[in-house]
Amino acid sequence: MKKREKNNVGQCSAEHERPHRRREVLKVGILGALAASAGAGKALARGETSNKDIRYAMVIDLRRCVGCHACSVACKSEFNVPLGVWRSWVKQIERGKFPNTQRHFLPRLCNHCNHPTCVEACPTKASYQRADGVVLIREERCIGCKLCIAACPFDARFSHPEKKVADKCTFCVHRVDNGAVPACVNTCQGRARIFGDLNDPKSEVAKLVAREAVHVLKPELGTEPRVFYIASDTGVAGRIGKEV
Amino acid sequence: MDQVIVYNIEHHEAMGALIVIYFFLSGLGAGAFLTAAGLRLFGGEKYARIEKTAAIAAPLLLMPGLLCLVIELGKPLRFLNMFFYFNPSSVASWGVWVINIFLAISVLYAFLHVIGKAGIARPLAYLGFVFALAVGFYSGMLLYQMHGHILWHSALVPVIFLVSAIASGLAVVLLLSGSADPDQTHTLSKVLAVVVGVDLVLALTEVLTLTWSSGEKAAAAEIILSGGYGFLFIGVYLIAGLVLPLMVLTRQRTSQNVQVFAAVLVLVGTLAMRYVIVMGGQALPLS
Repeated sequence: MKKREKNNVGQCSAEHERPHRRREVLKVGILGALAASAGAGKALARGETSNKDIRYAMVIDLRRCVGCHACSVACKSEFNVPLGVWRSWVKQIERGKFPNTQRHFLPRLCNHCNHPTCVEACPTKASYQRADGVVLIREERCIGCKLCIAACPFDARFSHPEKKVADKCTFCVHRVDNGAVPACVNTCQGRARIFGDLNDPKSEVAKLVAREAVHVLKPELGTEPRVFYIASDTGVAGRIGKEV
Repeated sequence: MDQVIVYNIEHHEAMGALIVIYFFLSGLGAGAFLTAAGLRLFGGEKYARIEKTAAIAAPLLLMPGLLCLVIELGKPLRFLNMFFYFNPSSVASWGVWVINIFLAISVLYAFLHVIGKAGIARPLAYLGFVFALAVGFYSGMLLYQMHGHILWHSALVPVIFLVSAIASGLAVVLLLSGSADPDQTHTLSKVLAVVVGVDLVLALTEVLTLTWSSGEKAAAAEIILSGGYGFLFIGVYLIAGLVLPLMVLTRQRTSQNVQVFAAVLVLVGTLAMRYVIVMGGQALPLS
């Protein structure tokens, strides 16, 4: 378990390593390679609320997803998400007849689109996008008009039953800004969820998006989702459901 | 090949019945004002009595609608944030200014009628005419901006909302002018017939293009053209709310009772249409 956490932080520190931060890495490095690999990520990212050189993205490799819902549970516990609403969930479909049958999974979360229609529709600019691409909500400003919920083509948003404001996945910025990966990524047992900086050619997400056959949800709407799926199935990604 | 969705999350719809009522009442207010201003600008002094009824009705219809909108907010007391923060890409952000300026104009216009100074209201009628058109138009535009709801994302939706707002506004004025000169209500009912005719053409265009579409659009069409929504849309809106009033209002002479009957049908039909578009538009799952 400890090793795993270390790996996660280490992975993230590689993603955060911007050229102008290298010196800092070196300084820390003097203290010892181990300490550096474990701690540098945190030290680098702390206080970095939004960096325009970074574009956070997620790749979900559906070949590795077993539909265990651990991501849904991790998300629920990370944010104490009330009953009946979900920031992240796993859609499942079944196709075919025995013995030729298969179950397909589609882990879902906010797509943190390049052109978020929710931010476009918000009448008070309570919904906004950070320079690093993460779409967030200013809870103290939100009037709860639910227009962003109607505007999101992915059903990623909901009205928080207790706070009465719009709520959704935040890409776990409170973790990411401190050098860790989102809770769902951290918990994913098959490493199906991979998180990182799309602008960093050395990051795993950038490599996967460049090399693998990736798909985003509803590309025709032009919102440019930044959650990419590898080996996505038409049936599970579509919304009508009855036929492929 | 057959497939079943074993598990998925569908969040509750964003817009509820209160929004339907808001769209209906704001349309009535805008339509009533357009009737009043239209009579002032194009009808002349002889319609003064109907004009006064319409002018007073407009803000009284609009205000409960706006109340519905505020109650529907998750944080009703924060509604002032709409004025403090402006988002130029949001239809609602423009709409809140448009509708409040229109509210101010319609209140002032009604007040001038109450104190008997309607004669000086002509410039206000011009200005209010433009804002009333904008109010009727913007609610459909608001829905159009929601790309994911495929039923709303049609260029005809804002136009249908505007035309049905005018029709329902005329209808409500016709209902309230029962004691007016029969010749004048007759003229008003003929105008209503024309507007209802335009509404019917637009609605049929929308229905036919939906019927002959494919994929998700066809799935959205199936929802509003069958079952309970189908009854409301085809039965109540298209047949009872448009075809029937058009048939009775285009007759040579219509008694006042027939006009009232047609007006009620138009009102019920408009409400049914708003309900089907808003709620039925959200019935197709987003994911």
